[in-house]
Amino acid sequence: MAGLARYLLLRALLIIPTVLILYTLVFVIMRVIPGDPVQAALGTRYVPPEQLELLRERHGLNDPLYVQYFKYLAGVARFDFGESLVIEGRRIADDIKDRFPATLELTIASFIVSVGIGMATGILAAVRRGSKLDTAMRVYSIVAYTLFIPWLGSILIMIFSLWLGLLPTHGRLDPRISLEHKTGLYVLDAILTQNWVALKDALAHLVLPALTLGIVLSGAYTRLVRANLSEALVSDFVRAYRARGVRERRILLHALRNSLIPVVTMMGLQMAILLGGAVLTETTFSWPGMGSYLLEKVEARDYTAVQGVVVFFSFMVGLISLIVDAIYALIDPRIRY
Amino acid sequence: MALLRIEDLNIDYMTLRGRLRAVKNASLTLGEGEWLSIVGESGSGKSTLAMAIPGLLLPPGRIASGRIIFQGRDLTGMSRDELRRIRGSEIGVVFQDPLTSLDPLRTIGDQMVEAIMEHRAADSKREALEMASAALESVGIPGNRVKYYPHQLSGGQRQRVMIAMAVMLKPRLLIADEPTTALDVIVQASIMRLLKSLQRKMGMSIILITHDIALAAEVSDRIAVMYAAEIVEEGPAEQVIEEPLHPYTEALIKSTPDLWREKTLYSIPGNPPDLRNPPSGCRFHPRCHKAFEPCKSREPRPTRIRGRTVACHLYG
Repeated sequence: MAGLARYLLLRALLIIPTVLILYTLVFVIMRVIPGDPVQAALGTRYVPPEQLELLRERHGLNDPLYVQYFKYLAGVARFDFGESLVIEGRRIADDIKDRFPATLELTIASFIVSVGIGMATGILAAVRRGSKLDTAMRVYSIVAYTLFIPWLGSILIMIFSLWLGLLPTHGRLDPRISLEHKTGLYVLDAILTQNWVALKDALAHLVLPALTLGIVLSGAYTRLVRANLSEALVSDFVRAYRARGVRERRILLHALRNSLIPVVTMMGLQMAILLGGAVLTETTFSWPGMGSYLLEKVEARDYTAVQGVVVFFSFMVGLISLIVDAIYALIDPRIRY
Repeated sequence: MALLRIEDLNIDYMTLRGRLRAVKNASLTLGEGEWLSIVGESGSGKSTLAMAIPGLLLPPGRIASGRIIFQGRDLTGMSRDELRRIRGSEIGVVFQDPLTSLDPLRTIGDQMVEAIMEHRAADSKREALEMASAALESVGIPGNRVKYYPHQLSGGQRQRVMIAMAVMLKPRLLIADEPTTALDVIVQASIMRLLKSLQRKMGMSIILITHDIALAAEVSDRIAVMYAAEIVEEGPAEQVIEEPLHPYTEALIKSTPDLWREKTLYSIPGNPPDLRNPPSGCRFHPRCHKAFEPCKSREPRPTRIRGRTVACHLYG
C-alpha cells in the first residue's frame, strides 16, 4: 500500500508542471496574436485613446511581460483567473463557478450513458464473436460514432418533445420551479434539499442531452471493448481457468477486467474532453455549460476569459489523469510498483 | 479397467478454406497410474488430441466423431456443465506457457481458491486457502506464496504453480501439454522430476504432449507417435525407442541430438504435409525411404504386432 500511495503522490505532483506548461503556452499565444486585446474586445466601437489606456492599465496590460506572467500565476493559485475584458467587474472565476456545474452534470450523465451502452454492446459482440449479433453491434458502433450531434439531438427533440411531449426541449430547469443551489448540480441539489418536483424536472431536462452525447460517444467503447475482450477471451489464462472448471460467467468477468486498461484510458480522455464542454450538445439543447461559454467568449474576444478557461481546463485534465492512474493501479497489481 | 479409452476419434477444424482434419481415427488406451507420452512434430495433432479429452478444443475445432471413455463415461456426449465439473477435479491440465497461463491481475491464492470453491471441495474460503497453500508446498513452493501475484514469481515457479493448480483436487488424469517447452533446460528437468514424483504419490495417470522423443523415453510407460493427424505407432516406451517399427518413429529418433555422438544431425527429407490436402495412401510415403508399391495408393491400417500398434504396410 505504501507503494500505491507513493505512486499516486508522484502522479499528483505531475499535475503542477502540466498546468504550468499549458498556462505558459496560452500566455505566450495570447501575447503574440497581432492586435491589441483591449481594442479587439471593444470591436469597432470608437473609444477615445485615453480611455483605452485606462483599460489597459486596469487589466495590467502595460506591465512588463514577466510581471503579467507571475501576477496571473499568483492569482491562479488562489483560484482567481482575472477579470473579464468585456464585462467590467465580472470575475472569470465566478463565470466558471456558474457554468462548470452544468458541464459536470452533463458530463457525468452522458458518461454513464456512453459507458453503459458501449460496455453492454461491446461485451455482447465479443462473447458472440462472428455471429449476426456481433455484426449488428459493429454496425451500431460505426453508426453511433458517425452521427452528428445537432442532427441526433434535433431528431430526439422532435420525437420526445414535440411529438410525444414527454421531455423538455432545452435548458436545465423549468424557470417556474425554484431550487436552492448548493453544488450547482441540479439533480444533486434537488436530492439534497429533498425537492422532488425539481428532481423530476432536472432529470427530464437531462435525459435528451445526455442520451444524444452518450450515444455518439458509446460507439467508440463498443469497438474498444469488443476488440480487447475478444482478445482476452482467447488468451491462455482463460483456457487455464476453463481447465480448472471455473464457470463461464466468472471467466468472462476475469477476462473483462483484463481488457479494461485501454477502456479506462479512453474513459479518462473522453471525460477530460467533456469537462471542457460539449459545445455541440450544449448549443443544441441551450445547455449553459463551459462549451457554450467558451464559444461566447471567443466570439466576444474576451482574452482573459479564454485564458482562464484554458488554465482551469488544464487543472481538470490533470485531475482526471490522476484518477485514471489510480484506477489503473487498482486494476493491475503490476502498476503498483 | 482402463482409465481412459479413446476410440476412433476424429477432430476437425472448420477453416475459411474448408475442413481440416487435425486428428484422424485416433484410438488409445491409458491404464490407471500409467504415463503415456504423445510425440510428434508441431502440427501433427498431438495437442489437439489431448485438449479434446477435457473438452478444451479452441473454436473452430470440434469433435467430428468417435468416443472418449473416461472412467466408464463418454466425455463426448456430456453437457458443457458436466464436463466443466470433471475439469479441474478429475482431469487436470498443465499448459505450455506458464507466463501467460495465470491471470496477471489476481493473486495465485485467489485463482486457486476460486477453482476449489467451484468444485465445492472446501466448506469455506479459509479452508480452501489452506488447501491451496498445501498444494503449493507439495510442488516445492512455500505455502505463503498464495499472496503473490504471478509477476512476482519466476517462469519455473509459475509452472510449479500451474501444476499445483492442476493436481490440488487429486485428479485421476493429468494432461501436460509441452509443460517444459517455454523453460530452460535445468528447470525442465526439475519440472519433469516433480511430475514423476507427484504421479507416484497420487497414483494418477499422465498424458504428456511433447515434441522431444528423448524426454518421452525417459519418463513414459508408453509412447504414441503422431504424424500428420494420425497415430502411426504406439507401444511400451522402451520397445518403441529400442526397436521402432514405423519408419517415421525411426527417423524421429535418428534426428534427436546426441551430445556424445559427433555426427551431423539427421533430418527427415521433405516437409510435413498440408492437412487440407494430405498425400494419398500412407501420409508419410513421400518422405519415407522404405516406401514401396502399396504405400502410394492404400492407407495402412493400424496393426497389432509384438504388443504394439503400428500403421505401416511393412507390417501387414
